[in-house]
Amino acid sequence: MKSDLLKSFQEHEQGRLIYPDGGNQISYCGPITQEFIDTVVLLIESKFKNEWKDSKKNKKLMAVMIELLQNIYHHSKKMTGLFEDMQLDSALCIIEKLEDDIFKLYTGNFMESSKISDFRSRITEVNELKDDQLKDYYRKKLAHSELSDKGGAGLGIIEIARKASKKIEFEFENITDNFAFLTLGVTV
Amino acid sequence: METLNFESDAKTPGIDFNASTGILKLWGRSIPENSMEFYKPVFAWLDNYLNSPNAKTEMIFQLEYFNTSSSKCILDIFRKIESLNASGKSNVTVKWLYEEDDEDMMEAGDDYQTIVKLEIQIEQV
Repeated sequence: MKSDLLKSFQEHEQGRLIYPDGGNQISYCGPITQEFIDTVVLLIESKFKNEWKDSKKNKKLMAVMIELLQNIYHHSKKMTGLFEDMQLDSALCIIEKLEDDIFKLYTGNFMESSKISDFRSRITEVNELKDDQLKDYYRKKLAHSELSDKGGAGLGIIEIARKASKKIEFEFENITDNFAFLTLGVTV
Repeated sequence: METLNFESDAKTPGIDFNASTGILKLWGRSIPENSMEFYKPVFAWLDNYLNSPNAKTEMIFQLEYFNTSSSKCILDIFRKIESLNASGKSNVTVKWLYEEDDEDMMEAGDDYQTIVKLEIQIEQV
């Protein structure tokens, strides 16, 4: 896992998307809004077109990123206010091109402590499954799922695991008794 | 019955459902935050169509990628087409088209094939 995403979160300029020309990284720290997700979709498309060349991973990266960001978008509404200068509804998002056809996505966001154990066990569960098992698990879940009011169908994390080329990396850092900073790393 | 027409854009698919030809096409991306909201008119149109369908129905999907909340809505479209097929009121064909080398979309077609009782023609374009 990238070292200390919480520190990057604290140091990153709020609300600004950073994407140097010719660079292999796009980063953002701030509230995840629908407008931000729209902007980042267009930005990544133009990065692929102009700098990163068309890659088989283009759509995969996009699909995983959207899943991660929409997840945060739906959850971060509950995290409001400030804690020691940290905006709790903000999230950090980093997209990095490691080599041709290998990309890494990181997200960091605050989460209520009460949600951690459930979240941890869901990621651990999908990380233990092999490709075929993930496929079956996804199909079973899809066939029997109902959409929640948040729009997700509990399928997001399975879909991310299916598209990822490595296990999903995750870390929780407790900030107070009530909430923690969750970091996820996904390689596609 | 009026055709259902949506232009495709960066987040939502194009839709061209035509009751007089029986050709129902959905293409592009489907990544809206609130998929249920987006697909509501699509389901309503299909419910109407199921009451008086064309003798032939050709349902064509050609998606680039979609989010998981859309995957459930796409399944619901399949379910409606499945019940149309079972009713015997229309001769139904279903095509799931994917772009060259797009294994994810090919596999997504397979996912639906394992869930619904319809023969889905999964083809590269």
